[in-house]
Amino acid sequence: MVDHTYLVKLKLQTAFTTLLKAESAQRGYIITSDKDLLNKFIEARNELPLMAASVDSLLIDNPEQVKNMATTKRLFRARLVWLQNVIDVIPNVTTITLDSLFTRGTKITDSIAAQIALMSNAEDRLLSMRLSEKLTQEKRAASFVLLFSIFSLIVVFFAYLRLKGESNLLKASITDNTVLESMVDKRTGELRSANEKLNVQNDLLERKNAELNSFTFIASHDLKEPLRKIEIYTNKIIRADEDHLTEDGKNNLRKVSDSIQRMKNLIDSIFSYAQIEQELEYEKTDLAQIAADALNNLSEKVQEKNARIDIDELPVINAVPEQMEQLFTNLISNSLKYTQPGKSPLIEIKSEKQFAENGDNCWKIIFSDNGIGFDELYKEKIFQIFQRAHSKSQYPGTGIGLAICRKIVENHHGHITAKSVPGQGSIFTIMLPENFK
Amino acid sequence: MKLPAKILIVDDDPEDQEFLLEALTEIWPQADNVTKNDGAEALEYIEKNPPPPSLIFLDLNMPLVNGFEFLSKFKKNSDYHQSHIIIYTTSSHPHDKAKTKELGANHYLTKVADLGTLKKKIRQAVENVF
Repeated sequence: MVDHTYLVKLKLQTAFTTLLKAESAQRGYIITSDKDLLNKFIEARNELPLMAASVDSLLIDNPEQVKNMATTKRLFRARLVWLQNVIDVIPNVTTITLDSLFTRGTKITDSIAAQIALMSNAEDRLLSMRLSEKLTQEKRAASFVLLFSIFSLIVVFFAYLRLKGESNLLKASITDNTVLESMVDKRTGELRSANEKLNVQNDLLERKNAELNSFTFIASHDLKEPLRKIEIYTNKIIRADEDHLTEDGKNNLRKVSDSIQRMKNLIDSIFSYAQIEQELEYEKTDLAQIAADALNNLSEKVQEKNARIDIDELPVINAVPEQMEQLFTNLISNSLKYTQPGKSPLIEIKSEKQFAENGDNCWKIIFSDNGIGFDELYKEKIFQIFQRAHSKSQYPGTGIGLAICRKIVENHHGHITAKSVPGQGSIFTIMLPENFK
Repeated sequence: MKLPAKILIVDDDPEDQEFLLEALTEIWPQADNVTKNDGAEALEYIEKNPPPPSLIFLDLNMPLVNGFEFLSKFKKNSDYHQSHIIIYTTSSHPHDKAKTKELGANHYLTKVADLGTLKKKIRQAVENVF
């Protein structure tokens, strides 16, 4: 998405630079009557519609920007027509009229600059909106990109101001037009180098993200090893030597045991979270089988809670089976955890076929329960890592389960949402494409 | 039910060797248990002491010859096809699971800390063999 924003802005900026070239060539021609400059004007004028058209293809999925682009193109056309008009009427006008003609033209150029700034802002807004949903380090990445986008915008803006000032000077003193040309080239070069810097920063951020992920993966793996040893020897003391301990000693040992379990859960969750990003194999996956496997993983809990689980017909989709199993296990386990006291849990899993806008088949999978639910104020927050809607002492957990669910679903190019009425239950809805990858 | 006559543990971690031995002795008190610290030692032992072990517990991350290298060398010898191999590792990475299966391992067991759970998992892994 960063690439997209960057590309749209770059193309708009290039089109604008071309318009400035056309303007300066036109003015130069009026002042010097040099045919070469007229040809340069015609060349730039002919290039411009193609440049504008190449932006169109990038905006297809954004109606607001398509509308903005239509306005931009109308302004471009108006400006070009005006430039041509001035050339046509030039033999018959006085200096005063010429000045007013120029002023009118400059006004259109100003509107174009404002329109492009508006479109760039819209792209930035879109970018920051999408990025704000991501994790903190990704947010940091977005602001880098944003900063650099604004930087390049400022470069363009200053280039424009300088060009405007310099072209006025030129008009007044009738000096050499090649100075103006070289200014345009220089500014274009500066713009290009600013964009190159932006690209380098993007690559760097992508690499840093990958490094961070593999660090989490390795760290969580290596933490498991000594923790397992602590657990082995704590278990040994409990098994063999518990009789020799005082009541206090036994109590403390139980606390050690509990903490080991909590830390194990935490490491396992962080490990799973980091693992989702690793490349995994997509294959035809029968979600009915996945649901059965997930229930098998949770069989003890289902029995303990005396839960009823109704599973409707489920589709076969292209997915990573391990991740689907984890998704189903996490969601069912969530429903088994947040239950109402004195009420047997009832969990339903249903599916509905949907058609996406692009014609691909999609599946809506709905998980509903009769648990304690949550305040809908937190319906976004519950999917963020380490965020919880209920206190840890009341309902123990790591705060990673639903974050994993969201990451898995997004990994499969789907999305997950939650609805709830406190005291009545929760509904988690997942949309997944049938044939992703 | 047939008993595994000879069991080989290949693991560079002495505490894990000890813990696994404890479980195995409780399951099959009569079996002959041998421990080796890496794949190279294990291959040398198997070659010099026929018949090959009926059951091998194999760690993956070991010095010199690791679990993957041991597997691919061991499986090349057709005399050893009767040996049942259980991967015994800390890693629960799907890639490791898939790769060892491809190399011919019979089961994949992630290391646990509870003796009862370990015994249960071993029994499940070999329930149709021993």
